[in-house]
Order: sequence, then structure tokens, then C-alpha cells
Amino acid sequence: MTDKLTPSLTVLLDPSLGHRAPLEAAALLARNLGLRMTVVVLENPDFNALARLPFSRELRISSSAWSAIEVDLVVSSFTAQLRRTERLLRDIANSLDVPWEIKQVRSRYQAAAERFWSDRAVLVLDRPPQVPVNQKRRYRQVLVVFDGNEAVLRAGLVLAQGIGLMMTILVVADNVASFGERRDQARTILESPVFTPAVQASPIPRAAHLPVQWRWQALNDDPAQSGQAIVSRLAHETRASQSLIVLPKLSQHCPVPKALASLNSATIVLVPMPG
Amino acid sequence: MNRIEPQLLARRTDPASLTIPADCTAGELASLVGHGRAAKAISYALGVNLPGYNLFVMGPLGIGKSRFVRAAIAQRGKQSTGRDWVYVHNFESPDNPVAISLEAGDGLTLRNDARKLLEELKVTIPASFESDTYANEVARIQSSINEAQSVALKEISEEALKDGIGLIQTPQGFSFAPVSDGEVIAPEAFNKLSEAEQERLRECMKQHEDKLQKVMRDNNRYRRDQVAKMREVNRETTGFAVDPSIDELKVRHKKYPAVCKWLEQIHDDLLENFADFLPEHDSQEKESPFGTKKDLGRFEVNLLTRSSDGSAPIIEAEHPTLPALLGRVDYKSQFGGIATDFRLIKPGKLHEANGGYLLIDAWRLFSEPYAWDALKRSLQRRAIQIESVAEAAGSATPARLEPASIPLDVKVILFGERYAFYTLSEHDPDFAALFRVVADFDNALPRDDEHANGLVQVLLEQASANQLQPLDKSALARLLDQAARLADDATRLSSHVQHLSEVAVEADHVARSAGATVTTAEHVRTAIADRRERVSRSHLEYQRSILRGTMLIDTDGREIGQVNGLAVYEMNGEGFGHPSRITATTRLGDGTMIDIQRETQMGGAVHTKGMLILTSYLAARYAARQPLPVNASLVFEQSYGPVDGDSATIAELCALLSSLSSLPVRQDLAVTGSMNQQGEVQAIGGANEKIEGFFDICKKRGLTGTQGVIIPASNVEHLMLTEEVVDAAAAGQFHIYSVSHVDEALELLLDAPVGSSSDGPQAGTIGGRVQQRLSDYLAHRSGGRAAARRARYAGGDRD
Repeated sequence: MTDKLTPSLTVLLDPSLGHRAPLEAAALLARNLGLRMTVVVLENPDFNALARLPFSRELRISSSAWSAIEVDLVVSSFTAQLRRTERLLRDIANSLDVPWEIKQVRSRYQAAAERFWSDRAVLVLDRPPQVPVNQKRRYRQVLVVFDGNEAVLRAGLVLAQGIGLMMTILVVADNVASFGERRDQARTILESPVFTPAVQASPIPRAAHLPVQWRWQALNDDPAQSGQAIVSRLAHETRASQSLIVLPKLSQHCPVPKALASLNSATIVLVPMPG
Repeated sequence: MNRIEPQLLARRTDPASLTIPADCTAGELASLVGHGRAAKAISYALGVNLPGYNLFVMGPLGIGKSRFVRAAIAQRGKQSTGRDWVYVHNFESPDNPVAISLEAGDGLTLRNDARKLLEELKVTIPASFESDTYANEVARIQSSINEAQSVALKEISEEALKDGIGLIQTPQGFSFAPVSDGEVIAPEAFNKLSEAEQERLRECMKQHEDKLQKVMRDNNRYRRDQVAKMREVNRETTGFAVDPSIDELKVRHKKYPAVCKWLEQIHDDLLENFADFLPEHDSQEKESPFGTKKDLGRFEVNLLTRSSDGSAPIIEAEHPTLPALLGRVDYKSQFGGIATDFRLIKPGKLHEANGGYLLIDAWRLFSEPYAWDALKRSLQRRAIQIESVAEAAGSATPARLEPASIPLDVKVILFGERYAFYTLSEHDPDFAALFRVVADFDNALPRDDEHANGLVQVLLEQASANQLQPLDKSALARLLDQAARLADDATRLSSHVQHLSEVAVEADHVARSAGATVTTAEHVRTAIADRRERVSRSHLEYQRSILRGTMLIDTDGREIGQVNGLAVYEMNGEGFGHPSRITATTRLGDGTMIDIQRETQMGGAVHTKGMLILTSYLAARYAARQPLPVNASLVFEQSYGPVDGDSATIAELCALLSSLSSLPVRQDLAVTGSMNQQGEVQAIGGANEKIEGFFDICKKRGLTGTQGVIIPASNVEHLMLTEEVVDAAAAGQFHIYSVSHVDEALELLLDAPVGSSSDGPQAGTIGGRVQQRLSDYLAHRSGGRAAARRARYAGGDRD
């Protein structure tokens, strides 16, 4: 089935990271939702300002030595990263027959996240970890925060089945009774077909149609504390492995963008409420 | 002199004497008839299983040597050694693949086991690395350092912020910069700050940079620890996945220590290179969204040779190039260059024949560069070491592989002609040590019932193999006659089975074309005639020239100093004879014999020898007590090519004595034969073809009833003349004479008695006329000298 809730899907990418895994996940979702995919490659303005300072230099992780920061090098680095990302996006989107565009925006990640927060696009945040690591990006699970938003659960299911991952459902509930109700609601949703016929027939590049596993996780449904509690819970769940986190966008249970910055090694998919 | 009776002109096979076997398809055993000496040598060579006891089989082409040897090998019934050979990757030295020997069938089992193992590893290794256990362990290791670093960075960042300095994460690392409201101050804004403030910020940045560098150095140390821990976790995880499969295979192949060692090396390799089995993820460098497969070929098995459980292999190297004998290493294109590995090792004929027999044609072997030397090296080392032609030629190869050598236990059987054997024996010092036994096949076999019936069986086997229609006894008898004709001897049978088999095939074609269902003697006769006709163009041209008078050959009348000699030549295996006019002139002289053929360098050494014998005989017989006062010239008229052989010696002598005696020579006779210094006539070759050649000319001009040919008496038993000649002789239209002494030939040709030399010159005899001529010459010469002396005296000269 296709829930055409929003006009597009936007991916915010920090150019310093490897993008294959998040772009494939985003393309899979866009394909199933019938959305156009817009990839926004961010150019951190601090780099430009930093490079132009006469005394600027950087401590390189690879060598633990200080090196001068060249303005030209920074500019060409941005250009190269953009081209590499565009080439990768073309391959992935074309293989899934997803319409796409790419643009470069000079903005800090936090500011960009806040800027795209309020519109009705599905938003994919792939922010850099606090400490750069030389490690291959590979998701090990899908974490879905389910507060009754059916679209969020369906998006999580598409990603889990499409990539072949275990799915963990964190049910937002403040008592046993509401937990039971939402779990039953989730089960009903999960029993219905998730992939559209077009997606079923398309060449999905990862193991497809694996059985989904899930765990139940009760979360306090107190709106005042819910966002922070969810972030804490998510931080705990994502400690062991890189995760795809699917959250209800514009929901009272959704953490604010700034709070999400503490979730390292995770790609966050924000699915807006229908309507 | 003896006119040969017609029944001696050709000894025909009586069809009734032949025994036709019931089963003509048995194949091998009949091939062993005859060639007893060669058979004994072959049996000896096959029976001695020691190095160097290889066999050189020599004899003419087409007599079935290979079939004979194969039959002898089959009779021995040697069993296969039952070993398979495989090549596997050498993990310690990849350029030197390891060779492993296994019992028959185990090579295939090992190859299949390796394939199965590889498929299992493709599942079990990724599964182990997908497990939560592994993920948690990795996360624990990573988070320990990440958290420690995060805390340290957070502290530095917060301290720096207190001084108005921001910690900025760059794509390559970290940097410090003055900040205002969380944003890096632009250079213009920084320049507007007071110098004191600028200096303070610089100083603060310097202090924080030192702290940051310390944290990063600690971080690098932590990361090294992390790498070591990760390596250990990865090895444990891999071992968990692969140990059961590899242990199972080690038990399965425990009787092969080399296989167990190889499996242990696979195990160690997997612990280090487990990532080869993991799917590629998230690589920005990858161009294709689906990535490329890793080459896991090093875990495969190259099954080089599979042994059979039955008879020892008999392999024939039809194209014995160096790589075809020793095997080769193929190459494949890779990234614009070429590459190779143990899987591209291909077996050679020596591998296939290992434990059995390798049959090679010597001529083909010696035609291939480096092949003979390579074969010798293999036999000397008793091992097969793969070599490339490029290496043998001293050229560099871009990707070189030196597979381990494989022990060699093979009996090599070389087939060649005699000159090859003698050349090798003389010029190759290794040859005798490597080929200690020689089997020398006879060109011809005795013409008795045993060999005749043996040859019949071979011919019938060949006919069966060629799916010919039945040959009746008359056809077989005619084929045996042809065998005798080929042997150039009525008492022998040629062993050239291939020629006879070809005649049988052609006779079958003739019979079928005529609608016959059985091939008879008439069909064989036609086939033989057709075969001759196909290659007779130049012979017919020569005959035509004689009949038109272009080539001057008389077949009647008498001429002084002119004799019909006979020559023979071969064209595509068929012999053709024709007459050749030999003339002699004589004159007063000092005993010089001018052989015009030799003077014009168209005479061969044997011909010259005949001339010298002739001269010696002439002097001894007619001028024993005086100088030979004659000069003579002898020539083959109208010959424009080389002449060799001594079969014209009698003809030359007769021409010479005709000239000296002025007695004319009969032109209705032709003569062939060599002689010795005593005047005894010696056998020559090609008697049948020579007789038939003169007969054909006479017949075409019309047989007169006096025509014939004089041959040496020792050639009579070689006669296998055509029915046409024999019939003409029986009808008294043509005559074959045998002579044992030149005097007999002289009396026939000059139609006069020779006379006894012991009684001195006799009037009316050939000898008497020759003596008279010589005396005249002497007298002339003496007269000339006396006149010269008188002239000198008259001039006052003194001796």
C-alpha cells in the first residue's frame, strides 16, 4: 500500500560521512511511499570561516599532527564530496526508479535540522558522530517509536524488511492498559502487506522480505518528559550497534532536534503525522 | 644365359591356401603376427620397470608400429597405479602451488569437499559476524574508547568555550577558533578586536591545542588497543564459524597429511582474512551499487588428473609441444594486465600418462621447439616440472607460477624412422641412457602361410574398422601379391599395412561403384592400376616422348655402341621404369674413360664406382699384359638430371665392347644389372618396374616376339610382374633373360660368342675383335712413337 502523506522525502547529509547505507534506506522508503527524494548536502560555514582565519590549523586524527587549513582545499573538498554523493545517489535512486535531486546548502547541521523540522516532508537525519570513526556504516537494527502513528510503524517495517534487519518497537504508553492497546494496534498494522506491488517487483539491493522480529518496550507517555525519556531510551538501545531510528515527526513524543544530537551512530527517520 | 620360365615371373598366391578367421574384429592380437625380433624387444622394454628402459620403435611408416605396440601393452595388462593429483594454493608461497597425491577417486572427493566448504563458509562466517554476540562485543570495545574520548573532548570544548574559543570538528580532525554566539568569528571581526584580545585568544588556543593533542595521542593508543582487541574478537568469531567444518574435513581426509596441513593453512588464512566473506557495505569508493565479489579461489582444489581403477593409461601425444607434454599455466586478463593462480594449471600428456605409457612420434617431437629437451629432463628427474616456452626461450613472463613438481612413472615409447634413431644415438649423449631398448621393425616378412594368414587377418581387421564390404579370398590373395610386389621380392611380404589397407579401401570403392557386394581380385587389380594411373602423368609423358621419337629409344634393329639401359624412379610411392639409351665411343688413347655424367656433375658416387669397376674389369680382361691404348666416352643420352646407382654398369660395358668390337647391339633388348671386377652380375633394385617399363614401350610399338629384358640371375626371385607381362612371356611375345656373368649379357646383346680369354684372341668372337682393335691401337701408337723418334734423330735430338 502507498500512504502518500507528504510531498517529498528530504535527507540531510553531513558530507564527511559515508552515505551508502542512509541513502539506500531513504531511497527504499521513498520508493515505497511514492515520494521524490531530495538530498541536502550541508556545507558547514564554520569551515569557511575557520579556513580564512590567519592562524587556523587542524589536528588531524590520522597523524595526530597539526596541519594548516587551506581555503582552496576546503572549497575543493566540498565540491568533491558533493560530486561523490551525487554519483552514489544516482546509482541508488536509478536502481530503485526513484525521482531525485541533490543540492548543497551552507548551514550548520543543527540549524538545518531545525529548518526542515517543521515542514511535512519525511526527514532523514544522518548526522556525524561526535568523534569521527573509520568504520563501515552498517545498520544492525531498526528502532521504531510507536505512539499510535501508523505511518511511522509502516515506514519502520519497510526499512526492516527491505534491508533485512531486526525491528524493535518502542511503544509509548504510560500504563499497562494503554501499552496493551497500542501493541495490539501495532500487531494489526504489521499483519497487513507493507510493500506496494511496484516495490515488490523492483530490484531491491539488499536481502528482501526477511521475517521481521520485534521487541516491545514501554515508554512513559508523559508529554512533558516524553521527549527526553525517549532520547535516553534510544541512546541506550543504540549503544551496541548502528541503528535506523524511525520517529513520529511533529508529535508531542518526538524529541527536539537538539536532543537528537546526542544519538551517535544512528540515522534518524522522521515521519510526519498524516493529515 | 637363361630365359626365365613364365611361372617364375610372378609368384601368385593361391586363394585356396588362405585361412579366413571367423572373427575379423578382434583387433589387437592379430597385429602381433610377424616382427618377432621387434616383438621380443617390446616385451622386454615393457617388462622392465626401471628408469631409462624406455622404448624406441623404428621402422618404415605405415607398417602399424603403434597398433603393434598397443597390442603388446594390452597383452601385458598392466594395472593403473590409481593415484589422483591435485594442485592447491600454497598459503606460505603463493607462487609455488602444492601438489598432492591421493588415491583414485579421492581427488574428486577433495575438490567437492572444498567447494562445499567454501559454500558453507559464505554462510557461516557472515552469520557469525551478524550475530548480536559479535555486535555487542564490538560495541563494547568501541564504546569504551568513544566514551572516554567523548568525555575528554567535551571537557576541552567546555573549557575552551569559557575562553571564547570553540572546538570545531573538521572532516580530517579538530580545530580551535574564536567564537561568538556559537559561530566562528569571521576574519574581519577578529581583526577589529584589540591586539591584547587577539593575543589572549591566540594564547588560549595554544593552551587548548596542547590539551587536545594529548587527548588525541591517548586516543591513538586506545585505538591500537582497540584494534588488537578487535582482531582477537574477529579471530574468535571466525573460528567459531569455521572450526566445525574444517575439523570435519580433517577427519575425513586424515590419511593424507598434506591435505590436513592444507586445511590448517586454510583455517589460519580465514582467521586473518574473514572479511573476504563479509558483504561490502557503505564504501564511498565503490562505483557499482552492488559491489564486486571477492576472489575466494584460494580455497578451491584444482583436480589435475583423475586415475582410473582399470588399466594403466596409454596416452598418445599427437601434438607433442612443450606445454602439451609438461602441462601449462594459463593466464587471465585482470585489470588490464594478466594474472594466474594454481587453478589455471593444466595437465600435459605426461600427467595423463603417469603410471602408464606415453606414445610419441619422434619426428613430431623433434619438430617442436624445446619439447625433446623438456621430455628428457622429465625422464632424468623422474618428475614433471611445468615449464613455459617463454622460460625455455629465456624470456621473462609477467606473472610467473612455479608449481611443485609431480613424481613421474611413465614408459615413453618413441616411434621413428631408422635415421632418427641413428642420428640420436650418434649426437645426443642422453639418448642411449633414456631409451635403452630399441624395437626395429622389418620392412618385410617371410612369405609363408603363417605370415600370409597373419597379414590377411590384419587386413580384415582394417577392413572391418573401415566398414568395408567383404573381401573374398581372391581379393585377399591379390593384396598379398601386392604386398610381395611392394617388398620388391616374391619371397617376402611388405609390412606396409597402411598401403595395403588403402588399396583395400579403393578396391571396395571400385566394387561398390560396379554394384558388387563382395570385393574380388579384379576390383583389387583395378584399384592398384587406378592408384598408379593417378601418379603416372610424368611417366606417361616420358613414354609419349619415346613413341613420338623425341626421346631416342630403339626397340628393334642393331646399333654399334648403343644399348638400352633401364632406369626406375618413384612417384608418390609408386615405382616407374623406362628405357634409357646408353652410348659409348672409343678411340686411340691412353686408357682414359670419360664418364660424361660425372664430368658434367650429373653422376652420383655409386655410378662413378660402377664406372671404375667397369674400367678395371676391361683392363684386366683385355689388356692384362699391356697398356690399354684406348680412350672411351660413355653417356646416358638425353638425360638432363642426376643419374646414380650402378645398375647400368653391364649396359655401359656392353656399349663399350660393342664400340671396340664394332659388333652392333640388339636394340630389341634392354639390360640392367651391376657387376664386380670379375664380371659377375649383381642384383639391382626395381627389376619389376624396369621390365614393365621396357615392355610398355615395346607393346605400344607392337611386340615383335624377339624383344625382352636381361636381368641379373639373383633378381629372378624378386620378380612379381604384372599379368600382362607374364602372359606375353608365356605367349613367346616377350622374353626375360637372367644372366650371372657379363659375358652372357654380351653374347645376348651382341649376338656373338665372347670367346675364351685364356685361349687368346679368337677370330669371330667378341673378345677376339676387341683384342684385335686394341692391338691395332697399340700398333698405331707404336708407329707414331717410331715416327717421332725418327724425326728427332733427323733433327739431331737425342734421348
